[in-house]
Amino acid sequence: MNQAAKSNMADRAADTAIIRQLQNSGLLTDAASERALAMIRPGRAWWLWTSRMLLLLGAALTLAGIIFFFAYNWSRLTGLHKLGLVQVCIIALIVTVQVRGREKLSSKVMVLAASVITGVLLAAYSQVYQTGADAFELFVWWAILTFGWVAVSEFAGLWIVWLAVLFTGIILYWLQVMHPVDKTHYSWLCVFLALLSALALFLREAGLRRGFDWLSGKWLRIVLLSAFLIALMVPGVALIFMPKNSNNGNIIALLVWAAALIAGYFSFRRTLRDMASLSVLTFSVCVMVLCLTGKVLFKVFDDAIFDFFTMGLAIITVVSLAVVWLRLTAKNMAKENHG
Amino acid sequence: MAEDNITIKQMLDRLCSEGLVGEAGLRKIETYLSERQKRAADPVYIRLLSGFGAWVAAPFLFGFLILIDLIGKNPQSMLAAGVISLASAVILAKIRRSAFLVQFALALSFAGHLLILYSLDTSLNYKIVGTLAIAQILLCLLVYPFFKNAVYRFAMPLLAVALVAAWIFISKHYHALHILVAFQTLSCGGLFLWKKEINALKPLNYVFAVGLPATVALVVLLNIFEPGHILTPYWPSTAILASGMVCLLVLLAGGLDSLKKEWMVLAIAVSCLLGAFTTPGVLVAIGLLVLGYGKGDKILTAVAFIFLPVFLVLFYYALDVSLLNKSYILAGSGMALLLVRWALKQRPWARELAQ
Repeated sequence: MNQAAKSNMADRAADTAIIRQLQNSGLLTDAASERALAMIRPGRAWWLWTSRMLLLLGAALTLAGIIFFFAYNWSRLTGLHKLGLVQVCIIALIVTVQVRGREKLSSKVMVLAASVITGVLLAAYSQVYQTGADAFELFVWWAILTFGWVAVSEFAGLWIVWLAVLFTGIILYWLQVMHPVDKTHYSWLCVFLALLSALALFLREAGLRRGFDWLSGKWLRIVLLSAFLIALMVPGVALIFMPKNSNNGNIIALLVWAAALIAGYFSFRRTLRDMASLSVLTFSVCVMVLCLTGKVLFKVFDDAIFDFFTMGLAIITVVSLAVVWLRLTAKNMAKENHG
Repeated sequence: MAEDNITIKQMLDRLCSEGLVGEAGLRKIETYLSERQKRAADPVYIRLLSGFGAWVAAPFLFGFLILIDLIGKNPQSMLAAGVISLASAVILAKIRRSAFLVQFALALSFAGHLLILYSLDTSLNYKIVGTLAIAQILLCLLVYPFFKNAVYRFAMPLLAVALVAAWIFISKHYHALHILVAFQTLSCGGLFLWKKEINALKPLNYVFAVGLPATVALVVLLNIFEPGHILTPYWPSTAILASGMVCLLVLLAGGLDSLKKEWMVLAIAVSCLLGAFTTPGVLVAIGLLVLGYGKGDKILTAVAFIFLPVFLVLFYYALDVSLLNKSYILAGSGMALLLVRWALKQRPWARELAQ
């Protein structure tokens, strides 16, 4: 037997799944697996998990309850009540965070709550004073006002919420100003959103290298990479199916997408060594290739039977190739890791 | 989350030193681990990609089979083509020589199901969803043991659950949804908590883990569809889920003996309180979170986190409770959870554990 393979597997972190498998295979007795489970997950781990879940669920439900309460009483509250109550909530949350210290998870959740309630405050403000402002202003101001908290919070979840608010503001700005007034093509909006996502992704990677451990969640990379690719793929797919409605922005989006694939391959394969991100890249290639294949098939060959059959086979072929490539890459990366 | 990070080797060494594993047993485990590494199953992202490919390819194959004159719109020939597609899929899956064949088999199996259901639907004049649901269940029972593909074993039974829910909805026997909730609660808990895990049934575990919150969401949605009418009350589902939660806690804690522990009594009390006051969606999400952590299953945790906001949004639109009461229910439940956390942290055993 390969000694290296033995040690590779044994050096992995023990988890519930492997203990269950050993028990199912009859290699661990019930007593041994119970003991093993207690080793990897002692009472302390259960307690910490329970404590965090109680905090997260408790905060989420309380916050939802407050929002529902305001929604119910909206028409009956005076302007002073509306603005006053929301501001008191925000101040109470921030003061509590300041007193307790920012490092605690509960404090981070409170900053997140304060940031969400800031949006409620702006909505209340725009309703009380009927400023006639466009909806995008609410989101842009929301992003501006909460940026300080986001910057010091050291909380990845809050960054994602903030980016979602900012993106909504930008999309609304395009819908309400750039498109109707300046006739700006949607492809430029997509390119801009993609660049913002890329910047966020770059900052996440750079921050992680500088030792900001709170950015270490892999989901953050996947979310930002997916946002980046989707923003570029929308004009790319439109260029394939509706070339007459496309402009330079669509071509640039497609070029940036192609460049991102190459850069992404090298960074996720060589430097960062992340299979999940490589899979996201591969998925985006599959979508674009299949869109192009579909367009060519249905345009060139005017035979529905042939088109349907070939398209079905093409999808299976492309996805199979992607799966084979991913498996091979994963295998090679595993070898290199233990080489 | 918050686990003690020890390697498999360290764990086995400790078990050895405590006399729970012998030298011979240790060698067997090492051999098993190295074999397992060689034939490791595809990671989730590859399975997702495979599933995506097959789902998208299946309608094209289905369309192709409908378009060629061999089938036309004759239900019998469609049925025959469906059976042939399924049989071919099973045979191709047995060969498993290449990724292409596996993908092709998967797409054929999906197309086969679609053809058989479509043929039944056509011959029944598009009226009887129940027949389709039963046909889908029978097809799954028939094909599941022979078609060893995790994506198929997840997707097709899930379609069966969806068809049963649609059948209940269309036939307007809304109360039957609670029976579906009870069945899925039992199946989900039973499959995940069974002492000996059966690999072939693993995809089925996830069918119920996804189907259960989706069915509960339908129960909540029903009262949004029909303003002014309570088509079916929440309480039966809530009672089923709260009982399921108590059973889950007891089983995870090691049996009835755990009932003597202070924290267990509190956990059961919180479950009952949530059952009494909150929406069933919140209960099912919390149940999946606990099960996910207990079994070290990240997919369950992800399902719970996806459904929790969905339930909160659905609850907002539910019409059987006024918005003011909803706000009290949610804020009250949230504050109760925060209070429980605070109270627990004051206990001496919790302080010891935290250190």
